[in-house]
Amino acid sequence: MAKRKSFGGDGLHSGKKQKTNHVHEAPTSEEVYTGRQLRHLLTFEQDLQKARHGKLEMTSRPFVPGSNAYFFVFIGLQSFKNVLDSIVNNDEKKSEHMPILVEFLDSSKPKDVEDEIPVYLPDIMENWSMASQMSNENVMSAVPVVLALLLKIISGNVDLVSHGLGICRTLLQKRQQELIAKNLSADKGKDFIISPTLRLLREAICLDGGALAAPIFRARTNTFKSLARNLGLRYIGAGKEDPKRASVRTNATRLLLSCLKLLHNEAKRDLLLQRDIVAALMRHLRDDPPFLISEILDILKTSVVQDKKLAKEVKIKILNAYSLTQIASLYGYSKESTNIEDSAESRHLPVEDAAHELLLATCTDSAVGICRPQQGYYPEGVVPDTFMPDPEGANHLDFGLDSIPWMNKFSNEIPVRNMLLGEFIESLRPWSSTKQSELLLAIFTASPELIARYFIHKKTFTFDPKLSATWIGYAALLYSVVQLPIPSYFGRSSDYAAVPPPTSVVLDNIVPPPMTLKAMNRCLSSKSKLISFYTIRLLVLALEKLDRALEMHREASISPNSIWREAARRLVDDFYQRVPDLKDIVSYYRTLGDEDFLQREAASRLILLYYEVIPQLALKAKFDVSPMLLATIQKVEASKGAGEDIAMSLLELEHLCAVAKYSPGMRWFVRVAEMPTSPFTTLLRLYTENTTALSGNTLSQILSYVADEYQLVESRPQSSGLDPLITALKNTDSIDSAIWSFIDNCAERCSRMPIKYLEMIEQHIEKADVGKQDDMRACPLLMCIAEQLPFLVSTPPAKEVLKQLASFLREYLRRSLDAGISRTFLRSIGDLLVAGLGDKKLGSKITLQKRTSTVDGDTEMVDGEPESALQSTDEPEGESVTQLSVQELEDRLAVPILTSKENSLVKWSSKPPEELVEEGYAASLILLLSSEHASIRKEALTNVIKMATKIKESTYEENEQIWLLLMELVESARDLIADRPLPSILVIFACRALDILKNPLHCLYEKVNLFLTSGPVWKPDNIPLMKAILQDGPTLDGSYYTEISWLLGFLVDSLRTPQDVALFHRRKVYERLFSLVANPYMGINLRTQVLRVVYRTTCIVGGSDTVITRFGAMSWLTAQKASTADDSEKRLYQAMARRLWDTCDQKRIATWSKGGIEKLV
Amino acid sequence: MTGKDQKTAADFTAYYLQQSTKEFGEDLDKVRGADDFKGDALPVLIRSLQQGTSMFCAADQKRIVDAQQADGKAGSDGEGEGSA
Repeated sequence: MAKRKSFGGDGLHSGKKQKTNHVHEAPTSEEVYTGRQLRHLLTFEQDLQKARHGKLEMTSRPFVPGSNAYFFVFIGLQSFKNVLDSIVNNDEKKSEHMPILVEFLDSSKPKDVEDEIPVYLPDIMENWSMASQMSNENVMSAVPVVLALLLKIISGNVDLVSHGLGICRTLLQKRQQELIAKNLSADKGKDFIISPTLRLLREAICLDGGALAAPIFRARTNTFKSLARNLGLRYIGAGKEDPKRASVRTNATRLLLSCLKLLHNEAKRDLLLQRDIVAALMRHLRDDPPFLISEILDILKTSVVQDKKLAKEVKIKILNAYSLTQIASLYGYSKESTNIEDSAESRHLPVEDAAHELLLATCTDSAVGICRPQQGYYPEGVVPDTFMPDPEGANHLDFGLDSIPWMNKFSNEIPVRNMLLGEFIESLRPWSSTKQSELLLAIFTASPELIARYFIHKKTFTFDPKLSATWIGYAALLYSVVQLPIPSYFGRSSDYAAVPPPTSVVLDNIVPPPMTLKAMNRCLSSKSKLISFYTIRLLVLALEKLDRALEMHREASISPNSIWREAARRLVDDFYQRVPDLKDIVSYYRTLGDEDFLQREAASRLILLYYEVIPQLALKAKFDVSPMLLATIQKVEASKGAGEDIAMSLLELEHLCAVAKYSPGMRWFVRVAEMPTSPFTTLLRLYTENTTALSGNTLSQILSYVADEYQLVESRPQSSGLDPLITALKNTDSIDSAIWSFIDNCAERCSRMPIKYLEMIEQHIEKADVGKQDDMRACPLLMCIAEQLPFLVSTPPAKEVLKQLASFLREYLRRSLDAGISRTFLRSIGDLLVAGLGDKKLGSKITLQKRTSTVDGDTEMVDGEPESALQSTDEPEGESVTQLSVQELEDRLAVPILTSKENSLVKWSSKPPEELVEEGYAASLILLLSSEHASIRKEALTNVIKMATKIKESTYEENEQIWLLLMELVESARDLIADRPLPSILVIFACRALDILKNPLHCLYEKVNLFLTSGPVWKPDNIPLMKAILQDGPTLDGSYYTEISWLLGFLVDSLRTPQDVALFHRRKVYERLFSLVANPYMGINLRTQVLRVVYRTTCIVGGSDTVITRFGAMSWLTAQKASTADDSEKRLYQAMARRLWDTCDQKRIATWSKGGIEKLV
Repeated sequence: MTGKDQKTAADFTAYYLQQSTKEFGEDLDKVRGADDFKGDALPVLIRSLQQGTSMFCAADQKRIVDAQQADGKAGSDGEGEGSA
């Protein structure tokens, strides 16, 4: 292109000075003093050669070689331009020139003549037309220059706008349109003609807020003539384009941008549909000067992307993949080039930032951008709402996932809704640019459907280890991608679909395809620590994401056989194929140095995740964690290095401990040569010692878990049984290693023989006669400590150690009491400990502090007076079995409570089946199902099952029925014993039924068998056989009273807890019994048996109240007393009434009966 | 996130970067010497290193920062990118 030779310096801001820069000889101008003079200067003369002004003649000289015909026109235009320039530049002559201009405009305003279209500035237009006809390029250039300047001034002056609109309308007249078109389509090199014309059009479009923008656009055949070509006419000179001497492209672009800014919606749509123009605008955007790029990006953002009225389809016409790629090419746009901007341009963001902002808005905002709604992990076109198995195969076979035709289709190609974005993101280089990476991730977040497709298409993206900036960039991108959350409902809008997303797509989101198994294995064995570390971190994220995906599959599956479950299994199976084996991770972990804190932490975290998320694969590795755990324990114990390093090692230790929790081979209580105590005790010490106060809750959770598993303690859902020990250890000032060894020894013993200590606890509780407490909580470890203490003391340890031990034990007891361990049990243990210490003074230290908040009023338990402590009335009143009002009554009516024999849990195993049933071993074991201790109950249940099997397999005559009975008991008990003892009614029934089954001649033999075959599970709120005996009549003639007698005995034994009373209440047992006695044929023995049931009821908390208020027991007794003639029987009823009164809530009953009951007794 | 949490997170990131430079000093030097280490490579490298902090929950970050401060080392080691 030729160097520009435009008239008047071309610039809108150019002043007179630039005249000297002109390539042509500088034209002379005339100083203007009046509007009239100006008008005269611009007058159109047909004969252009005619001199109009004497002065001019004097100075005239040819300015275009070979043609001076337009010289005078040119002088006039130049003089006008000088006037306009001075106004635009706001120079000293502005005040003089402005009135001249106004005068000129007013005087040249066309008069309103009917049927005549007004033509503004007719002389100038005529001159332009003539020059155009004669191809006088100087005038063709000069006219638009002057008009553009004039419109610019008018735009800034409201009073003149009407003139401006008139001029613009004149320009829109056919003749002027053609002049414009001719100018615009001038040869490529004639930018001095094209540029001013483009400026003129832009000024016309911008005038009065775009009042005439639409008509100008409508005349686009002329006004936009050659626009696409002109958009390509860049500045090609040396150096940078000067904003003041803008190139044709710059002017054309500004014209186009003004249109985008000012055109109304439909016109804008039409404009954007001009493919050649849009393409020309975006082509080689990166080569444009920064000020122009900023203007383009600014208008695209404000007038296209953020224009909510503009349809997405139209936006895509300009923001297509090509344009986006062009805009993305601005990443890394040289920053220096933006710094030379003048102050007017500096309001723009740096090019790179502006491009980034525009792309973010365009690609991620579904409301205004071009991003379309999509369905996440479900490929485009897939309809997952109905699951219809293949109708032909459905009759016989369910192929599950395989019956969905599209399920396995998407491993090589994934159709997406946002195809445009999909193509665009492939052009990005996110590994080498922070901003591009940010953009890509934002696009992935907005349209997760693109993630898997991106990596499938991006074949060149390889994760093979190479210590380079690009590899680091890859790894960083992969980390961010794996870290992206899974879209809710896998991309569905409100709920899970009927069919899960394709497994391959889910997996590609968890382990992106570049992370091949081969590449990861190579990374793990790479010499570079950094590469291995990054790989480990990626795997950590992948496992966490898999965990979440599986959880979502569980949420979505409505039934165990649901297709979602199958998809989850397949996902895990496929995941196995994509990740390294645990043994590779472990070998990597073993290579790490002691100082590699971050690496050790990450690797141990990963190992733990293998166990937690994909345990099947982890357990296959048969990895023994103990040596590593021990090494880490020793490292933490040594506590060398800075605080943060120790904290980091502790995290590693916690991960390993959690791994150990999952490892079946972990030996928690076994001491190894280099450690003074077992891992359990060592961890306990680490956790409780002040030096490692930094540890979190994880350690204590693991310790509690282990203690629970090995039955060292009894826990409740809300409180761990190990807490008292931990708190006691923390609160004891110093603990000698001998004491730690002792605790270790006890923990080891207790873990080895938990049943022994559980039974010891049973015995102690029985001795203390507190069998009727509801929620008795004990602690086997304490029991073991009490048992082992004498052996420790006999060694004998140093006095100081004993002192420490005493204060630790005291703290332990106190904390146990606070934690809700049974007071009676603790008191009993306290006695043992005091006795074990054998030192009265030290013993006195083991004192349970007085607790003011307790309901039952504790007394201090001090050495030397255990008896008095035991006898203190700290039991609730209703439970006091020992308090008797009438000895005789007790002798006649009290029935001993059935209890289990000693060592029932183990003894039975050595006995033959006949003895089990006949000698009561079976019954004794069954009774343990109602033990207070969950662990005993569980153990008992297991043993009942074993026993049932043993009996069934034996030659014992009644083996089938006994087996059936036991198994029905097991089935009934299985769910019930988890959180409370099995209801007495079931336990006692099982024991009593055993007696019947072993004797086929028993009168109830048939009824019991009928009962057993009627259903596999016994209802806990039903009283077996009661209806069959009381209502159905006897099976054998004459055995009615025998059956009644059996029932009464059964009922007495079944009454042991308030829950039993409640059951009797619900099933109206008392009502039935009281009416039973009305039978005159019933003997004294049976009547006494009924009284035994009542007597047992009075022994249970709230029992007396229930029978008095709900069943009228008092009046029934009074009636019985009155109806009998026998004095001794009368006394019996009277004593019974007295007993009821003594054991009830007298205040409440007195109020309830208005003092009536008291009178009766 | 409160100001205190942000401070903890920032302190932890500083520690993490510092520890990274200790553990991977040699590798980081190699990366910096690689042919393709230009343009945005340094910020990308730093970002990639500190990505790992997201594996630590807020409580664990606090434990480590607290331990560091208890050790009296905090403060002077502010910006972790020592040799990078």
